[in-house]
Amino acid sequence: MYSFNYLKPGSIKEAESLLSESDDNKVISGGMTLLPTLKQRLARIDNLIGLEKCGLDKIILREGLLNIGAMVTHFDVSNSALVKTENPAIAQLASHIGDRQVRNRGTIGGSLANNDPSACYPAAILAMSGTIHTTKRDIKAENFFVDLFETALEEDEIITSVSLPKPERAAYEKFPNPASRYAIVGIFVAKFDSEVRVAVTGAGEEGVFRCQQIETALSAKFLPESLSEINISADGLMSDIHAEADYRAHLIVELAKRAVAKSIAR
Amino acid sequence: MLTMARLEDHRLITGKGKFTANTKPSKALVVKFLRTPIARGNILSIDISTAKTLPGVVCIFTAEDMASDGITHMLDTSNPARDDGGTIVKPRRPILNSYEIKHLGEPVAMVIAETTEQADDAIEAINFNYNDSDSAFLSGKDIDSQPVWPEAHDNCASYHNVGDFSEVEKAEKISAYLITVPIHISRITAVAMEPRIALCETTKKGKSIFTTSTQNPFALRAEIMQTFSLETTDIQVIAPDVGGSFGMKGTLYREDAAIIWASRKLKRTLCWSASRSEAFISDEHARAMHGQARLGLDSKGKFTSFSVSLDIDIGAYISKRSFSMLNNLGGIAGQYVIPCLAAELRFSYSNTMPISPYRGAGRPEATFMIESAIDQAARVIGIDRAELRARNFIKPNMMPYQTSLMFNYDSGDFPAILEEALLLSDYHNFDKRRIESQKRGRIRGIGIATHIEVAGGPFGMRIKELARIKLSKQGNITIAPGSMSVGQGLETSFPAIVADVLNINADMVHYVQGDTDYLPSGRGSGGSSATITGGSAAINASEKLIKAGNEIAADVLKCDISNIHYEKGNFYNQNNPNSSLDWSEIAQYSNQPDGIDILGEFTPSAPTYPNGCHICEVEIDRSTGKCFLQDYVAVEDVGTALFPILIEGQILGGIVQGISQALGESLIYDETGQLSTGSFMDYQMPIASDFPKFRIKTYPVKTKINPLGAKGVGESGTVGALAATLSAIQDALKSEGSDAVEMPATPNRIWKKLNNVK
Ligand SMILES: Cc1cc2nc3c(=O)[nH]c(=O)nc-3n(C[C@H](O)[C@H](O)[C@H](O)COP(=O)(O)OP(=O)(O)OC[C@H]3O[C@@H](n4cnc5c(N)ncnc54)[C@H](O)[C@@H]3O)c2cc1C
Repeated sequence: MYSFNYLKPGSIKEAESLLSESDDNKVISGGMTLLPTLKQRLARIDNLIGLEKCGLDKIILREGLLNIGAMVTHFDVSNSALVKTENPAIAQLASHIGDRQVRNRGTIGGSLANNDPSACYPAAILAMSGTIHTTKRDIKAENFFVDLFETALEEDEIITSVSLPKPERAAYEKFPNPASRYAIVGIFVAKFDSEVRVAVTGAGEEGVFRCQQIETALSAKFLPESLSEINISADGLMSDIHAEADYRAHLIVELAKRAVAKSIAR
Repeated sequence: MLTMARLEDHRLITGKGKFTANTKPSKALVVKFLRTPIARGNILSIDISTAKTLPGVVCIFTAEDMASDGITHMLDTSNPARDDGGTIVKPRRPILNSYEIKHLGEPVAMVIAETTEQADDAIEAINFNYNDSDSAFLSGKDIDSQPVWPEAHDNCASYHNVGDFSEVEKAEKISAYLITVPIHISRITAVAMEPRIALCETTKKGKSIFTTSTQNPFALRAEIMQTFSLETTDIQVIAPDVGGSFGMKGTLYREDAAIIWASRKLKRTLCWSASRSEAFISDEHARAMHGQARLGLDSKGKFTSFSVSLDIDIGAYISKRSFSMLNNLGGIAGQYVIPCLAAELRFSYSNTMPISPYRGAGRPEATFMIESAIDQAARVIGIDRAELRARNFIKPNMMPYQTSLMFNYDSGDFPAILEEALLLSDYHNFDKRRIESQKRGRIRGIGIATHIEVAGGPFGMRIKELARIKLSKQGNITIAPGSMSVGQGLETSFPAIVADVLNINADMVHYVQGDTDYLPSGRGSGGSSATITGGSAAINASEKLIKAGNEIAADVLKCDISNIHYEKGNFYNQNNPNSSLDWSEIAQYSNQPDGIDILGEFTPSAPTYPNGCHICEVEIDRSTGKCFLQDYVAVEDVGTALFPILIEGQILGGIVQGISQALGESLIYDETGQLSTGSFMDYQMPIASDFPKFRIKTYPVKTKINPLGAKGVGESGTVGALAATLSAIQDALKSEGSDAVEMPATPNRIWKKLNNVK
């Protein structure tokens, strides 16, 4: 680890201005991703800006949307009575991230900013067409996830919260990587009045993506059986020591069926 | 008798353990190593001129500096042979490499600095130039391409024909069935909870005190003495609490040698501790073999012959630790009457980290070979797998039994243990459970493995074990065995063994371990030997202590020694029961200034053979290939079952390591020799929720080899589990008409087999 200063600004404004002072300043939320990177000297940072005191840790209902503060931990999302009634699928998703230690530290803001191709939240936010609120603007999920570990965020932009509409039905299914417990494939299925949206994480060479084939089939009839004839192409899917592309392609359909069944049973 | 909880647990789980890092004095300087970032190439230059000048940097050493002291290579302990007449090449392992890179992570330079950050800065500032060769040589490659060592043009380090192949061939010719199964055993590593650490202090007078996480301080001291031409008085090795070892921490490593040399040169205290990433690339690896096994059977299903042909991937360098498979090969005889046995072993080089023993050290592999061949035979012939085993067992009335390959089993009741395991697992009703699983879209499989392994060996060698017992002037009794615990719980068992002989409470006996100043030699931890040989030496020491007590008592109580009666910590004159002496009085009256100090010993006449039967039940999710363990039964004959809680812990931990390798643990190098599984993000370690409740039962058949009647328990769990788990998975796959899956049976691989995806 290189040495750095650790700052704890008392407001988001202050955090923002500290961040914009230098390219070598960075915000830290749960530190679950950032700290290992720093420990291995893969990044050099002058000032690490902690967001604990910026009031980003609330979960509220605002204009019919569930609004989750960027600093809300996975544990708090999984355990919040409000989330459980408004959006049980995302509470359940959060309860299966990593392990207990990770859930107690890791945050929704950190996870989205990091955009790990195997992370769980990006699938949920994209499938539910969420909005990412930052210190500068509101970004629709469609425009937020750019590529592996890459988002629409600018260098000096901080996520403050996320808003999610309430789907009629939704569920997340994840096939965990047996080593890291991240998603080898994770599917978020969300049925709204007007459309069905399905997002896939863990599988795409460019990160999280929506799966039109499955969306179309489910829009016709929102039942697991609607997917029995679907074959997903392995093109553009990741292949690694844990899962080859064709296996991932197969899992996408299988997990989508299970997610649909789960969302109906809920 | 002895069912107490482990005495060390409270200390260990409340953070009060004393590991090497806890003993580090504040004056210790930090040591870090610059390592080769590639697997193969030539070193061009190592420029330390800038790095040396950075703040806090005390010294930077390379091979050149060590060479000027005449220290260049690790001790050559290897003893390769070539039964095929090939040329023997013994490439030597440099302590610090300055020449040809042979695997990822070889130490190149040693930085000594005041702080970790300063050491890291200096590592980054070293200008390290090397030529990268296009590709690494890995197991399974065509040897014509580029052998690891050009002198060894066939890439073979050692080649052995063991047993009688001509007899096997004769038997195969007249066998009704000849079953061939492929063998593939993945490369794994120990993943000790406490990574390696080395702390060396050298006094002004030149005595080095080397504190480290090792499983055998005595062997380590001997290696250090030889490497640096030292006397016993020059070097003391101390192993405090050790957080796991499994064979991996059983030798002097290159980092250790570099640190000892530097500490002696600088007369400073130095400490290096491996990060987890360093552990993955620089701890010795294990298993790593492939080949095939052949089992012959007559028309009645009696075994006629068994042979294996193996290629073992030993990594880039050799040492005596590369060949542990040879010591434990006899395990392929299993629990069966097999008239002829033979094995062909080729040890091959690759551009990877060298291998060494890991829990079982060839025993789980051997068991896997015979057991998977028997499973396949049962399928081909159409006999129940348990029945085929029962038909071929060595029966209790045949003991002692000399197998056709190495081992001479002294005792065991294999048929009874199988029966017990079948009963416990409700084997005969498995089909009902299979149908029930099918209804839920799951494929159920049941696996059987019987195992038998050599303990307290190595086979063919008789190693003396020592235990020192001390009665201090204050009357305190301390036992210091040559065996040591790296987590097994000897702190609980050894005082209990001594207390049992002395007929006193165990809490009156103190325990110390792992200090070469206490004993001239010791076996440390290994080969499931601690209780059987160390415990027996402790008994011998305790008996000698009573004898010494008798003599003093006779003197003080002024009677003939034959009249002294010892009971529950007191020595009586039988003729005058009112006069007695307890241990503290004996200590007071002893004419030695420091009390009584006795060395007990035990040399087993032969090794022992723990054995057992494991039955594993799994369910496979048809559409994802994921395997779920449903039930696990192990019936184990560890001889006298001395400490139920320790036995259960050993067997359970061992089983988990076996299952883990079967299902997912695997070190994978890519074609350039980079490690694809260099962290827990990719190297699959199991967690508690992956496992079912284990049902472990002992079935003691005492051995006469040692006074305790114990057979050893450290490895048996792993020896049975690797085979039993894969047996269950293959059974599930076969029930669907699929081929066998290669180890590790990952969901992706199982799915491919089920769907016939190539
Ligand atoms: C062992 C392990 C297992 C895991 N398993 C899973 C899993 O199964 N599923 C899953 O989804 N995730 C998993 N994770 C990731 C975890 O969920 C964390 O959420 C994730 O690491 C990032 O969150 P954090 O709060 O720790 O972010 P940090 O590590 O603090 O930050 C990550 C990055 O985001 C930036 N950042 C942080 N907060 C903000 C913000 N508000 N605005 C802008 N930028 C910001 C930081 O500068 C940094 O670059 C796992 C992590 C570990 C260590």
